[in-house]
Formats: sequence, C-alpha cells, structure tokens
Amino acid sequence: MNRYLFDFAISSLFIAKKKNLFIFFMLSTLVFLVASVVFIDTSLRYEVVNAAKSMPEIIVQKRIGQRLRDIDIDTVYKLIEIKGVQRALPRIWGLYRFQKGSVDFAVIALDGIDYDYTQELQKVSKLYGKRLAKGIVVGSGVKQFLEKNYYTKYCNFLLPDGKVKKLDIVGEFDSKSALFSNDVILMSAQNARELFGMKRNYASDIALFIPNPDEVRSIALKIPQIDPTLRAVTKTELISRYESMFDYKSGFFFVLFLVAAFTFFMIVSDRLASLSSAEKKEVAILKAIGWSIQDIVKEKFIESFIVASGAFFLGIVLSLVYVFVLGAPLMSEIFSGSFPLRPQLEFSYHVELREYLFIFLMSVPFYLFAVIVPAWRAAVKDVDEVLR
Amino acid sequence: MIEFFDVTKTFFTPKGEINALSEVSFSVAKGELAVLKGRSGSGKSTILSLIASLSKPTKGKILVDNEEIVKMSDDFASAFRLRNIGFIFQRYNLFEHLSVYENLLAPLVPLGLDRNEVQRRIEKVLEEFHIESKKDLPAKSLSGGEQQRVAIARALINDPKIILADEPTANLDATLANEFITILQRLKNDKKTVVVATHDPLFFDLDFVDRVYEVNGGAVC
Repeated sequence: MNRYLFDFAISSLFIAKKKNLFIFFMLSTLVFLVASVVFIDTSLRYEVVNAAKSMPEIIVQKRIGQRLRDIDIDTVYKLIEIKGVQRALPRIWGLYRFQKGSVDFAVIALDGIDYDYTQELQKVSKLYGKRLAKGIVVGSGVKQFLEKNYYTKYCNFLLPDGKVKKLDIVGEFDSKSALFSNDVILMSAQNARELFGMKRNYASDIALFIPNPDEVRSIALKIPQIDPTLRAVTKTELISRYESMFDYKSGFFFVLFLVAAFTFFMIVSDRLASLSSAEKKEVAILKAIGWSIQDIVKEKFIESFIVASGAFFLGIVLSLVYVFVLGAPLMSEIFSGSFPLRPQLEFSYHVELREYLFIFLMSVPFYLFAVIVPAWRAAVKDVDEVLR
Repeated sequence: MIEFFDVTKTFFTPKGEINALSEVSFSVAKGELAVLKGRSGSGKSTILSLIASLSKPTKGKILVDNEEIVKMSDDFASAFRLRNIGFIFQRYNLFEHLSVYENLLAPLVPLGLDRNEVQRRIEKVLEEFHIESKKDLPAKSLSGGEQQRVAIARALINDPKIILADEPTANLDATLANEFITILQRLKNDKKTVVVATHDPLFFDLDFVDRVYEVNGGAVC
C-alpha cells in the first residue's frame, strides 16, 4: 500500500469537507437505525429461543368449532400411553382483564408445576409455594400497574359469578426475561380455577414432554386420532409464532428504513452521479500531473472507504449504546407493543458477525460504488476539456 | 524532441464544430526553448495539451521523444506524462484547500517512492523556489506569485525532460514576470525542452529563446 496515496486521500477529504461531513452523518444515521433494529430483533429472538428450551415439546388443546375449551384432566392417561411421551401435565392458565386499565395479565397456576418454562417460575414455586394458597406472586410490570391503582398489599379479582376474590400480594418476581414474565400473575390452581370458572377436573391445556425430538411430529399427528377435538401445538410452531410476530415488527421497521435508505441513496446518487465542477477539476489536475485512472480510482476508493467505514463504526457504536445501554427507548415500545403490558425490556447482547456483515453490506459498498463510478467517468474524460 | 505532423484538432460542441488546429506541422528540438505566440483562442493552449497528451488530435501524428503519444493507452500516457512532462498551467491549477506540501506531494504519489526520496525532492523544490516558509499553508492563502512558484515547483519536482508553460505571466506583475524569466533561463541552461504559450511580448525578444512560432487561427507559422 502506497502510504502517500493514503495520506493524500485523507487530505483530499477536506477538499469537499461539507459534502463529506453531510454524507458521513447521513450514513451514520442510516447505519444507526438499521443496526438498532437488527440488534433488538436479534436480542428478542435469542430470548424466545432461550425460553423455548424449557418449553414442553407439545401443548395439547381442546378445540370445538375452533374455540378453545377446557380439557378433561383424564385425557392425560390417554396421552401418556402414546409411545415416546415421557410425561403429560395439565396446565391452568388464562388472561385476566383489569377493566380499569384495559390491560390483560397472564394468570398461571403454579402448584403442581414440576416443570418450568422459565427458570424464574421454578424459583418462585420454591420460594412462595405454601403462601400461594392465599395470595399471588406478580411480575414487575403487574406490580407497577397494581401500585398505580393503589393495590399495594392485596388485589381484588372479579369472579365469573360476579363475586370479588381478595388475594394477598405475597411476592414479586423479577426477571431478565421480562418479555415473558413482566405481565404474569402466579396463583394456586384452586384460585385460578375459581377465577376462570373452571371445573375441578379440568385444565386449560396439557403439556407433553418428549425426550426424542424426532418423535414430536409423529406424536403430534397421533393426538387427533385419540380425540378429534384435541389439537397439538408443537414447540417449533410456538417459536415460529413468536418469530413471525418479530418478523412483522422488524419488517415494519425495515419498510420504514428501506424508505429512509432509498431516500439516502437517491440523495447520495444525485450528489455523486455528476461530480461538481470542483471535483471534476480535481480529477483532471491529478491526471494532468501524471496520475493514471487506476491511481485516481484507488485514491477515491480510500477516500470514500474512510467516510463510509467511519460512518459505519459511528452508527454501530451509537446503536450498541442505544440498544444495550439505554434500552432502546421508543423503539423497544414498538417491539413490545403487543404484550399485555409493555415490559421494560433488557436487551442482552447476542449479535453475531453475520449481523455486522449484513449492516456493512447494506451501507458501505453502495457508497463506495457511488463515489468510484463517477470518479472513474471523470478520469476517462478528456482532461483538456475539463481544465478549460 | 517534439514533432507535429499535419495535426488537426476539432472540438465538437452543441453549437457546431470548432477547428482549433488545422494541419499543423512544427518541431522543437531537444533542449530548445520555443515560444508559441498568438492571441487568446488562437490554438496555443491546444498545442500544449496535445504535447502533454491531455487531449487527442482529430487527425495527424505527434511524436514526443520519438514516442507516438496519440497511440498510447491512457495509463501509458499518464506514466509518460508523470516522468517526462511538467505542465505549468495559466491558472496554476493547484489544489487550493491543500497545503503547499500536499500540492508538491501529489505528482510523487504514483511513483511509490520511499519516504526519504519524497522528503528530499519536496525540500529541494521548496528551497529552490523560496517557499519553505509556506510549506504548511493552504495554497489558496498564497499570493499570485507564490502560487505560481508552487505550480512551477510541482511541475519540476519529478525532474521532467519537457516543460510546458501556458500563459505563465498572464496573472503576474512585472517583477514576478521577470522572476519567471530567470527560472526559464535556468531551465534552458539545464537542457530542458521548454515550450511556452504566451501573448506577452516579454518573451519574444529574449536572447535564449530558440524558436518563436506564431499561432494564428489554428495554423502555425
């Protein structure tokens, strides 16, 4: 590498200082926006996949006319007989709406849970097991909501028969997996049944644990054969449902950013497609003093690479701070908008090299191309014509 | 040695064709100082551009040091220009926002010289043209005379065999013009081939000028 070519390229950046600064900030902003979406998306997907590790392989639901019904607990005995099923556990859960704030909370019955779909639930079960008979343990988002509505020690629940049931708030569980636990209320199975008006021998669904993942599909196909009203939802389907939700969110963002990117590219193309007369003159002088087309293209490559890679690194650093230090204010609310409560998401860093590569390819090469092509076009022109 | 054989240069513009040169033939021997005199628009600058291969003739043959530069590829022409030709432009054509040092560095960049050689060449011309103290200043902050000295220093930094000067005194006062004449004499003494395009009478009676060609309406006589 010719050191002086590099030095000259750096000096040349100052020839069109304003234009280069403008492009530097435009490109940094674009990289910042795209990187922030990618980082949030990556972090959420990781959380989904991580949480899914402890999910049951199949959830069996009862559906009649596409409506969910409570499932008879005796179904467990039929399901456990299917070859490959290790355990079958009835679960009681549902959504409870607080009219005051028009928010839904996920109510989960905790006793009888000898599995967990988050480690936090297992910890809570150990900590509050006995006290749950008369109370509830709430996620941090629920706690904040209740405090706003002056429920600090207990909470009144409206039962289907119109009566009110008072349950003490016996604890709060805090989780980094806020995405899943923020809007959760844990209570005993008896209280949960009362709250949902569920008969004693019934559950919301049945979780099946299957040690061999290769058998999941064939087991899922056998379930409707036991009872045509039973429907099997596999872990893969659940994950893809979450992922499609994030795809939708990030897709929405990407459409916005594609518009922003398109605008940026149009501005840059417009500014570069025809070099200014000063820039054309610069290229012509270089040729007149003996630079070859190749030398000029190399110099322009270095010049534009400095601008583009500098903007790329600035954009990346800003988005790392924005997402992983500041918690992505505004953007995180849009991503978590469909949850009953908007949890205070804590994004954990799980970005891989390919994500950086994707962002790099989205921004830097286009700019390099947009600089080099017009410079090359100017360099092959008749120097005499330009200098006149 | 510079030789023109029936060279025609036509510019094609939206308003029509302009014949800048019509079947021009002339020569300048090695080590000679030739003056192309004529009014503005007579075709003098076009001749210099053709010698430096900054432009291609429409017809005819041009030999520079026995090389037919018209037939050279663009890259060869650039390499030829880099090593053999120093061009002093009428409006200096410096990089105004760059320092004097960076302007002088520009012709050295493609050569890929080592650090010591680069420094040696730059220091030599800075001293020769008395611009050491201006080394770090941007070219645009210099006076007209200083800018011209930088332009001459840049043209000579690669020690070219041929020096082309386009209206070198057009923007200078009498003192600075005389200073340029001194530089020209020194180049002549150094056995450089020099072609000056000018309409300044100052050049026509100089005793060290070997040839004066009159350029008029695209013809040389």
